[in-house]
Amino acid sequence: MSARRWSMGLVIAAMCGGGVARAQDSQFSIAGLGTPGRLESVRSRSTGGAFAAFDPESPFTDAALVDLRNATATAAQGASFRDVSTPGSSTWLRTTRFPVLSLGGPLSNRLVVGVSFSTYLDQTYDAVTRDSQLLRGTMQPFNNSISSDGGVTDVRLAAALRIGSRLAVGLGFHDLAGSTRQNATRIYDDTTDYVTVVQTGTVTYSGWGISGGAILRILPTAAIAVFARQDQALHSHVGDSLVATNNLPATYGGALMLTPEPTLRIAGSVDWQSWSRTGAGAFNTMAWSAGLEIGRTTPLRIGVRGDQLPFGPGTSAPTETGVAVGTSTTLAKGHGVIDVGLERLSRSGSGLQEEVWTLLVGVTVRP
Amino acid sequence: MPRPPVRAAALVVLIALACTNDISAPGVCPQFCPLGSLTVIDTLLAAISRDSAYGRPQGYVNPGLSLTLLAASEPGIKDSRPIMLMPALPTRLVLEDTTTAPVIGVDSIVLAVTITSRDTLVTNLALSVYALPLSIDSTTTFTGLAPAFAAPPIRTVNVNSLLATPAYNNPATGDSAILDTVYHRVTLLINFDSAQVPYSVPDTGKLAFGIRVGADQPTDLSLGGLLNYGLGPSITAYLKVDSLGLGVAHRRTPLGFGTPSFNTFVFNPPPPPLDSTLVVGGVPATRSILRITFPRIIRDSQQIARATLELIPAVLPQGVASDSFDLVTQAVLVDLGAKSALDPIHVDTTRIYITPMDTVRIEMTNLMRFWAADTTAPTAIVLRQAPEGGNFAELRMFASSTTAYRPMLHLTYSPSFPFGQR
Repeated sequence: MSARRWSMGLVIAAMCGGGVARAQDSQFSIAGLGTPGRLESVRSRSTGGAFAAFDPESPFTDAALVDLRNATATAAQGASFRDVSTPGSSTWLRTTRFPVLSLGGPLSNRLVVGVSFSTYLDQTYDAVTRDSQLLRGTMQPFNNSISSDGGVTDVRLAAALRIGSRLAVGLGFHDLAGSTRQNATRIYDDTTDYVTVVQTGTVTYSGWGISGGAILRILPTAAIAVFARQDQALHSHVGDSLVATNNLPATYGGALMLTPEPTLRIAGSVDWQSWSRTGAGAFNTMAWSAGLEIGRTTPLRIGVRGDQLPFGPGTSAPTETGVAVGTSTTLAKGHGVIDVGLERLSRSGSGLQEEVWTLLVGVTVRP
Repeated sequence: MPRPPVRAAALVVLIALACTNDISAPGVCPQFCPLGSLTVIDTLLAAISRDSAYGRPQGYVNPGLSLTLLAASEPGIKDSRPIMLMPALPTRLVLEDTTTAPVIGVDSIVLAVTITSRDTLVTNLALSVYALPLSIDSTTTFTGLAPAFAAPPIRTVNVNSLLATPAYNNPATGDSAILDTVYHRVTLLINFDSAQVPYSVPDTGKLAFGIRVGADQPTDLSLGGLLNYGLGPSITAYLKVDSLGLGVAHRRTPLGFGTPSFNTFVFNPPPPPLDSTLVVGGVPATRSILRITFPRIIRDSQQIARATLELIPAVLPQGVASDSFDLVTQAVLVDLGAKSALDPIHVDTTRIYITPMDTVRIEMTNLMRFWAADTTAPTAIVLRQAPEGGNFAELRMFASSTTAYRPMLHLTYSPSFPFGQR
């Protein structure tokens, strides 16, 4: 099967999903700004995110772009199956998302630029509640539904510069944009006397941020990365009205990658984000990941991660742990790469439990 | 590189998974629910103003133009009698071929009247037909016809008895009936002989009839009127024609002949005049117009789940059970007071029964939502009876000038949801 046909398959899949880039959503973030997206390609996500700081196809660090030897385009798709459990109830949810799209290539031997579109915050949910209200002397049962579809997209324009043979630095500008279409619906059981109430609003978002980082090859078989990012306030508008302004977090992190053998790569990373700046009910988060990649043409990738979710009702941040596996194959003499991965996440906090299976498919094209 | 079957299977899985999306889950509130909630408020608004009634003494539909002729025998409440002026009979009819001969008399006449509504529970329901002077017109009054109705009726038909006969036919009198079981109408074919309706040469056979209804109980009924296509009164005359010395021939009037040139009904007591209340219905037919002040805060940014117009009756509706009627709330296309043009699309209807009631409630949710969507539409409504002029029952309700019992708008609405606020 040719790379062209694979690409056609991805296009068909995108048409079915019909959405822009988004990450998987979570019930934990309904009351907050949203679920932070993962700025990781399928390759990096299959290692638990451990390789993201060194992956030029992941819009995670800017300096990693320097490893792009050719013009490269990457897209990722994830189909998630999520079990949301509370005491007494369990619901399976399904979503399909396209969390990352990146383009980049070298301008010279030392300078590489790239642009990427990825999910910054996902606000896709539909919370249905059952209640009743005393109206005109009679209790009227009803169903309430508050739904949202959309999120904040991170459009990054970045450049990386190789300085000498061991050091690379990168700088990125992030435009935060996007919108959510929200619906609030109340359906009374007595549809004869009471008309269904449906209110619809479109919230648009704007903001920006900057990021920078460096990768230093400390040994022929070892490299370290440091990165930082500062996002400014996120402004929410309904029509022409500014309805909310929320500070966005700063991000600091570091990563280590070892290559003891040409066919074995091991990496680990850690980062911290100051989500508590965004307002009440938000927490600073710490995330770590570790993973390895074995082989070259059809590698095996394995990774684990531990994370915290920035929004939750309790006094501490909900936690998230995950494992992932994946592989890839090259097509058309290396002009195309198909990455597949399977991720299992477990989230818990304040009596709510989420178990998520995500099937990941990525396509990389190097013309 | 995977083998072709593996790659094909992977592509199928990819496409299948791409089309999946189900995000609806039970909300665990307030911990895991969106900030803000959809609230619904139920409130009474004194939003009616500049309300008034129109239609007396000249109504929107007057007796002579009503689709129905009302007959009532409700002692102490209402006495109503349909009257009709039949056309002149032909002076010549075809005898043979193209030869015509003069009409010299009447053999018999059949008067057809259709009862469009009646109280089926009354016993001995009877229609009495009276001969009236040929001078009746739209100015004729109940009192003016009192002498004619004081005379003995020329025919009386017991409707219950006739409907109890085989095939609804009474050979003794020549009367018959046609029963419409779908619309519950009864068409009576009342037979008159030449002695009961003598042929008057000077009047060219013109006849004027008056009808009274009677029963063991107070009752009323409606007869189809001249304007009620196919249901109005008519006569079929069987005439005597001079056969040019060969005896007397009998000929029937042509088809299409026999509809009255005029019909109406007279009643007593006369309709009460309009006062400070909102009057709807009756004869002549009245309407009330109400202007509604739609609060801008609701009109511009809220969603209406239910809207009910509540009016307090000033006088209980009078009549018998069969007088129940539809009360129609209709938007106006343009507010011109009594002559406002009615919107045929935005209409709400409530059935009014002749029974004690404390409040008249009219659902007008659709109308209010229409006004919320079209802010250029005049927020005025007209209350009217349906059908107009076909029922003596009328509603009198307190107007906004009576503060304690003024009309109210009962609104159930949802304020704007705070989208985007955190």
